[in-house]
Amino acid sequence: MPRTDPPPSKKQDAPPEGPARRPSQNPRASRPRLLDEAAAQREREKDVLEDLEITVGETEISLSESELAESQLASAWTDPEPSEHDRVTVAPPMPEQEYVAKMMEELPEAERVPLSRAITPVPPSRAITPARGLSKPPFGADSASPSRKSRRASARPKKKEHEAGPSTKPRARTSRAPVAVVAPPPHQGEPLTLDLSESLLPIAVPSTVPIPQFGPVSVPKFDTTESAPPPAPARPRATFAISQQNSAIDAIAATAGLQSSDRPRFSFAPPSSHALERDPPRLSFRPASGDPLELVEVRAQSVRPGPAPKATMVEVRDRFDVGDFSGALALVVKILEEEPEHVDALLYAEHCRDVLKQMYISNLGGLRKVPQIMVSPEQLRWLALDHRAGFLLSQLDGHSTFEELLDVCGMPPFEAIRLLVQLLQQNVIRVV
Amino acid sequence: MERVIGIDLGTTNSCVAIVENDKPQVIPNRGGWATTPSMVALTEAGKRLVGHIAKRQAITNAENTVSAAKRLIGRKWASPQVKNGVLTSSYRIVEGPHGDLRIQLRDKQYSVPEISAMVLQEMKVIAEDYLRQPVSKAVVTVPAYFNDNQRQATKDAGQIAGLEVIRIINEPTAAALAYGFGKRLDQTIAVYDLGGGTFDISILEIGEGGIFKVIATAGDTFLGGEDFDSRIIDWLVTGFQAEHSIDLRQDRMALQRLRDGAEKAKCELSSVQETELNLPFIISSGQNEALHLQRKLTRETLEKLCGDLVDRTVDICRQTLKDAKISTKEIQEVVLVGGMTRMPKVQSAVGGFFGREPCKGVHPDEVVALGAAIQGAALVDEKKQMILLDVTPHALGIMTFGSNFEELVPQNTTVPTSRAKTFTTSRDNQTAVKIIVMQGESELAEQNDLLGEFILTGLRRAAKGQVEIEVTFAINADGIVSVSARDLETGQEQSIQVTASSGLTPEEIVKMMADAQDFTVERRSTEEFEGVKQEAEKLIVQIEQLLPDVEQAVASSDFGKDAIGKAKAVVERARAAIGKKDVSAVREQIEGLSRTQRMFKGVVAKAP
Repeated sequence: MPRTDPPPSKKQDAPPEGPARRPSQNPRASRPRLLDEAAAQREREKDVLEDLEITVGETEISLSESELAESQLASAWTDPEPSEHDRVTVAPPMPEQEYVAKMMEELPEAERVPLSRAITPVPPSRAITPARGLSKPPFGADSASPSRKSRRASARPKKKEHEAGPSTKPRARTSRAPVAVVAPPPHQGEPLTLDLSESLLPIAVPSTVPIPQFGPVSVPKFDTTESAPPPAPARPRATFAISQQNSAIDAIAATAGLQSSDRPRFSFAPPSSHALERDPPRLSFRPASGDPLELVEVRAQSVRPGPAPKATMVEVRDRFDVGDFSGALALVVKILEEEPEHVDALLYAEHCRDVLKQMYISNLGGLRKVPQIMVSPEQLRWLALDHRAGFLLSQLDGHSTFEELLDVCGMPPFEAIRLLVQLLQQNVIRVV
Repeated sequence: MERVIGIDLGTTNSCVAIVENDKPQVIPNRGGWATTPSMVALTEAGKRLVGHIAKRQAITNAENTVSAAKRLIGRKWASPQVKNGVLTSSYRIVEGPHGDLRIQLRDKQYSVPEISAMVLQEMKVIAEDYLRQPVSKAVVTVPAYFNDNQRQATKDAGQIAGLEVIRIINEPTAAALAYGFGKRLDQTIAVYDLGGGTFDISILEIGEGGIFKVIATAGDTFLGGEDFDSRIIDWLVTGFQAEHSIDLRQDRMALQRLRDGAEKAKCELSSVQETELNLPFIISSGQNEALHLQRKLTRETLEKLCGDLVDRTVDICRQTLKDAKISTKEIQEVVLVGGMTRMPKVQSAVGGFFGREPCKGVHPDEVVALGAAIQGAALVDEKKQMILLDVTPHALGIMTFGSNFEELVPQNTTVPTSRAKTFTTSRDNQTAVKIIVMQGESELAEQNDLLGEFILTGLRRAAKGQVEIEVTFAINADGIVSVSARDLETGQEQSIQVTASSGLTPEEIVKMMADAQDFTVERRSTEEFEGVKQEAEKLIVQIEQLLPDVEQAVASSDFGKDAIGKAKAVVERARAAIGKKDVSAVREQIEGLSRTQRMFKGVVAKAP
């Protein structure tokens, strides 16, 4: 997914907010010496950052765990808890050509995925451009932070198990060759997280099945692309064969306790060799149009769902039967848009509205209650409300009951009640 | 002694007052406001809304909201005012069965007195809630220019509302009464009344001994505070359109908010120099976002926007004094009436014209109702020395040859009175004459109001001008006008008794009264039920909260379990009574619930 991380300098200048950045939870808070070192390192990195032109808002760098542990950068981080935003990737420590060739060798022809665009592979470590504003010193440098290492290790018990011995749990890439992508550190307690590239899943996953967490695409920026020789068609680093993708899904589904019939399947056909000859996928060492943001946008478009399927009365009944009245009503409204005289749909719509209205009234605590605005007029302007909600709010005087409000608002009662419930849930109003 | 309330039945706002401990005071409505909008609406669900709540939905439900019904009361369908109303009103006006008019609200037609009765009924309820006793008598004010039909229609409205209107008095007279309350005055005053929808200027003579006489009155029935609001709305809409290219008038919700905001800003600018209109999320931009309206309005801008409206009132004052042949120097006091007179620009314009500072000793919104209350108290208390003479509001006369109007009883003639005049035939050998009785001040008969007509027959044949006929107008103390025509030679006589009519038959009025009574009973019972229901539900909640602790405390006792079972039964019975909406049953259960709640509290308190 595209990310909009704040610029790096801001992260370092201002104390970050949120539970993931709470200094009080820092396990190294009792180590002043290390903190001092970290602070000094931060200052040094800040100087470096000020000289860099950072244009990698959507770029991720891969780092192996050991490299990460040894890096000076790791010592500078003071995150007490791992966050999904902390995930980094890095290229394998080998020359580009060798890496690409190796990748292509290992990929059977039949399993190749046609590339709709050029995807930049992971560059060698020397060409790393820091992601999210973090300047990474060369690997192997001093001042590796053991505390950082231990923290990340503790946050990823699965990885530790893997390092200690063969894991009994299915892993997505255990049988693959040196894929440079390191699985992002999952949150503690989460069974498994895969760093699958969403761009490489060109089919829609059924909504009834839990969708696996996909990591962001790594699109590093290279300084040496001009001199790089034209590469052979290569598979991007995070690409899986269909069978591997299915096995990954199986792993997730097994973890989630899903039946095999409920699991999504990737069943698209690979391109023929003829097609690949005619239009061979090209690998570029630079982003498609020189801007990583554009790449992300292209990918986002490629997975955009098609037109919504037509709603049917069967679905309406199903939803109604399971008590999903709002869902049923939404479907009925769609049906009525096409067939305004649809008798069944009209009946269901009326019934859904009746039930929902009662539910909404119950949420409000009864129509005889008096609503009051909880936010100041200044704060009100910053809420995401529409003009109808604005009108309802304008009618609240602190004395009128919901019933009176429905009388004066001039809106259909169901719609007005629904909006009032939303306002109540958003804590814009309260009931007295 | 029965209490008499005074009601100012205004075009845009109404107010009710009473004299308590010899001091007149306004009765606030449930919302705490001294005045109540004279608006009536019918919701989609058929619910009747009166007052502030009707005003708040006046634009979003414009077709079914009646405002300014006073402009139509007592008028005939064919009158120019009604024709104008048909064109300008947002609600539907249709022709009634007796040449009168009806107002269509959803699927039902209402007469204008019926609509006014709803407002009067609201004022009655406000007074009864305050006094905690039934109220059945009232003094109601009307503009000085109201004719007999309009006054009668107002009386009928009171009757439909369950009020006996013991006196109709002119608004400027009421204002003067309140102004002169407790004072010994002998002076000529001007009452400048700029209300929500109308403007009136009246010149009164207050004599020693409490004689109030309206010398002259004039006004504009389409000039008031709403016009000022409209100017602010225009200013806001124009600014918003320039900024966003969206016409806010096209959206009813936006327009309703603009009107509310404009009125609020206008009121604020009477006391501050600058105010901000802040209407967030006023309209959708069409791109999935809502736009805000935020503008600062200064008093200076408002005065520029509305300067011509203020000038119009001054022009009317000038013309009225000129017609009455009175100079401003003769005016010894200027009384301001109506909320709009709080506007500093209005006060300075009035002060400038009359050459004196207007009197600020009376509350402009309340002064008329206070005067009516004073009059009401005086009417039922003989000890209160006050002589308030009834006068004819308009001149009375007959139509003569050439469609001219011949005046017999001048305007402001104190009643009872009798006046006679002799006329002759207008054609040769004329054996009959038609006497057409009219009311008004115009020399052209067609511009005055028709009160009635009759034919005198049996005249002797003679050349025109030779037969003399004496026409006599007699008005008794009850305001009933009798007109007679007598052939002076033969003594042949015909007469007619003219009684003002609102356009409603007595049967219709009785039926409307019954309907209004039913509505009142239903409203009262609903309110009563809601009251006992809330009380019962509160007790049920308390009992249910105590129940687990009580169960624990009496777990080992059979007697305790039995008591809990009984308590649960009481709660169930109370719930059933609430479900049936049976007020008396709920009230019965409240006693049991109270006992149970007290018992439970005691058990919990004694529990270890």
